[in-house]
Amino acid sequence: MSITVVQDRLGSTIQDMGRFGWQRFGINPSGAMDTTALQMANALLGNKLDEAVIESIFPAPTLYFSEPVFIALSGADFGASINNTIIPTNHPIFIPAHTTLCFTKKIKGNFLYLAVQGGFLLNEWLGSYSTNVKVGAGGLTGGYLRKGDMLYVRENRKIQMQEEVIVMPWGAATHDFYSTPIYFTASPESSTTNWWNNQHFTISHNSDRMGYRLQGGDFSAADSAEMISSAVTFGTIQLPPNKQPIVLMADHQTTGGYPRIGTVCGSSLPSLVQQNFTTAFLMEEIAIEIAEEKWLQQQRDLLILQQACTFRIQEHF
Amino acid sequence: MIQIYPLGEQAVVLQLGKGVSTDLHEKVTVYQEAIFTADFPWVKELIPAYDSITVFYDLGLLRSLLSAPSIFDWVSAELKKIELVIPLKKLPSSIHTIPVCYDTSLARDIETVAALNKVTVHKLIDLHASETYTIYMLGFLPGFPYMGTVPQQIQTPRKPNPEALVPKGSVGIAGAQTGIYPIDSPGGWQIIGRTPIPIFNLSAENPCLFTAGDRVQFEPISLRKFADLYREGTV
Repeated sequence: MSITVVQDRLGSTIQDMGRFGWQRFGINPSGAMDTTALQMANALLGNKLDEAVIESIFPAPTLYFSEPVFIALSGADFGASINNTIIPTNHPIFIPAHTTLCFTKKIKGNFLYLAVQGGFLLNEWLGSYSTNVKVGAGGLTGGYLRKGDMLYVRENRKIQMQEEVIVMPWGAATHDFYSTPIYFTASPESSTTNWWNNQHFTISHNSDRMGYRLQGGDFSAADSAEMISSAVTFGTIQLPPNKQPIVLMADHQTTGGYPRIGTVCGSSLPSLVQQNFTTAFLMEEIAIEIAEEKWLQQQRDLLILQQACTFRIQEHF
Repeated sequence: MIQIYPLGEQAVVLQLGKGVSTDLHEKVTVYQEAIFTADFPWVKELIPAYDSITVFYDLGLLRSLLSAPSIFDWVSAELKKIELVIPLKKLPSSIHTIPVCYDTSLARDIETVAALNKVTVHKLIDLHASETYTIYMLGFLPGFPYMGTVPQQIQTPRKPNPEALVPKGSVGIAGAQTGIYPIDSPGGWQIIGRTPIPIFNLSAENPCLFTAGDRVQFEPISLRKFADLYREGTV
């Protein structure tokens, strides 16, 4: 069965958890900006948690479904609508044949994730389906989804034929994953937390999949002289010469020469990714052991969600 | 004395020294090889740099196997003691001969760089091609090699304003480093030549020609030879 992109908006790509094992060759991992939302959308459908999905910014593409399928939307809320009826995020949704899904309004968050039950049929590059737009590899065509693109769904389970859209009564509770403050751990190039404590930050509009520029705090006393290049990662906080921190995001380069003044915790990245650009938030340094435990707890919660949803789906059909 | 510090809660940086030198880089290469040989199931990948190696590890796997209160502490201890467990030995490195055409039509900045350094273009080419360079690391772009060390007489800082498009294959200088652009990209390195050889090939099993630790020699070629090699590569 296929999903056709009826109306494209540059800014939709296929992503999974990322392409690992090749960073020493300068091949950056790509992958979803909000890995919680990716995993949650998959968990709701009983998919493998790292199944590839559509990631989209607003305005998101209009999609036509030729055959029935289960989908789930997670991450941002862009006012998903079918026949003028709003479809909620974070629930499995049954989509009947010949349905058009569109997105009407940027309500909350920045990146939306759409998963299909069974996953998409795609070309792999170096072990991952994530799109690397820079080299034109992975995903569907190595680039953004365009009008006329057709995505094929891998599995065609025998599901009851229904005529109407059905929202499954069970869903995912997301608040634990998107709270503030945004936690980070220290790095040797940071020598004081005064720059951060009780300072409010916002995300500048000059932000994208490569990095989020933060506005706020006072880093004028910090050393921003360029250093010998070394590895960076998703969440590395750099201090460029203009003294406004940049948090490196999913499309980060593998190495960098700006001073690294901290690393946003893996458990806080989804929240940072989805902060509305008008919202101010606090940032707080925590110890490594606490950062480890926060991330591990989120992973446990996602697995529990996946098990519970798989059970509910099997029960229902 | 190796220092280890966290890069977030899922990676550590092994600092083997400070600075750019072939001796220190050899240490990096040897240590990296030891970690590969150890084949730890919890190592996701490594990124070697001039004076450090960053090791990315599987936090979930380690937590399921260990009761240690801090995974970071445990990983650090394992990596520190690797030299007690794996003999550190240097492997022979590959040496690549890369044909480069230094014609101004392919080297937009060669005359500027020559003038800035008060040498003739001919002398600049001689100096650039006379050195056998070490690839310290790959980064910035897939397959982009950071190589050193450019002869002192022609070291030139990168441009204050980068170009919107540097063509694939362009050979550049930035300070004491020389590099090659594997794909079309914006960039600020001083462009002094171009290679017709693809150093990044999307359909290859390993798309990148170079690995950190390899060595590179540039071989000057004519515009005619450039055209021939380029055509050969695209057939």
